[in-house]
Amino acid sequence: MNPKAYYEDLKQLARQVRAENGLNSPRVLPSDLRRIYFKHGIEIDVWPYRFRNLRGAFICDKLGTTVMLARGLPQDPLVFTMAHELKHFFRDRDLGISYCDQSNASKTLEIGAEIFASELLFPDRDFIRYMERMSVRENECLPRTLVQLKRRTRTTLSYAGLAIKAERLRFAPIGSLTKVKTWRKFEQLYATDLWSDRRFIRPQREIGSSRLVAEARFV
Amino acid sequence: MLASQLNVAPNTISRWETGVYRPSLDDVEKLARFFGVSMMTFLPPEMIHAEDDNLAALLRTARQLHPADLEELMKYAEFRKARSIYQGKSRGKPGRKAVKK
Repeated sequence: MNPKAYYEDLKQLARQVRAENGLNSPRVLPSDLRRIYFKHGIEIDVWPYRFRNLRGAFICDKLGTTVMLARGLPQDPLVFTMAHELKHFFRDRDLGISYCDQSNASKTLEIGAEIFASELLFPDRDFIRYMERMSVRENECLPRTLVQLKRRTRTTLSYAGLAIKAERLRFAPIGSLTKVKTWRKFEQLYATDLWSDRRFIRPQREIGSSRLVAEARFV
Repeated sequence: MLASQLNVAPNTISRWETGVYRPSLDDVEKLARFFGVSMMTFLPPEMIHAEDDNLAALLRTARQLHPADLEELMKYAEFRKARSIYQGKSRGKPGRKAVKK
């Protein structure tokens, strides 16, 4: 299987996992993923000591199936790491151990895990629909757009993940968003006008419907 | 010194030494860190022998990691192995047992 077909297959798998587990919004929480882990008998260990680069590791052997997570990860990286390791459970169990840090990020298996995680948290199809809703056309997506998107959908996909997705789906020129390192500043800059809108003060979590309930808040 | 580092009472250390109590898995992990040795040092050798090759093979793939991360991952793998040994020979908690009818 060539890499492109492999990545498409992983996206399909991610959509299937979402459908099977009632994940209907771009806001996937650690509890959602814990539920999936529990369903498949995967044990989670939060290792209480610090790592330099390592975020998580997947081990499957005769002692069982375990995912180790580095302690102290903020919510978004935690969710992404859990989703990433879930791919190793579904597709790379025979390898025994898989770990995720910067040293092996270019390997096909790891890129596949990143693509799977990204699709699991925020499917491309939903991303395109939100962009259309916000009247964002090709190469028009700005940092401000992603700040608004993240605030409105309350997605747990990080800005880095959203930026890669926006560029890959051609909503932004290559490198225009992925090189941004100051998302926190952008968030502070653009969040005030968004949060002054009372409709976004207490957004409800979207559950129970395959339609994008959050669309109602876009109007 | 050891007791304060492990945050346990000195009596507890004494009872581990005399075999009155068995240290918990977390305590074994702390002991291994304190003495700078493998957790397996504190487990019966006949129980860990069969697993050694498996651990080495498991971590052979992780050579690219930062040395500090590799070392920590190794400790985690040991912890995981020790836990399986512990769970296999756990005696159950003391106290009144439920009566089966």
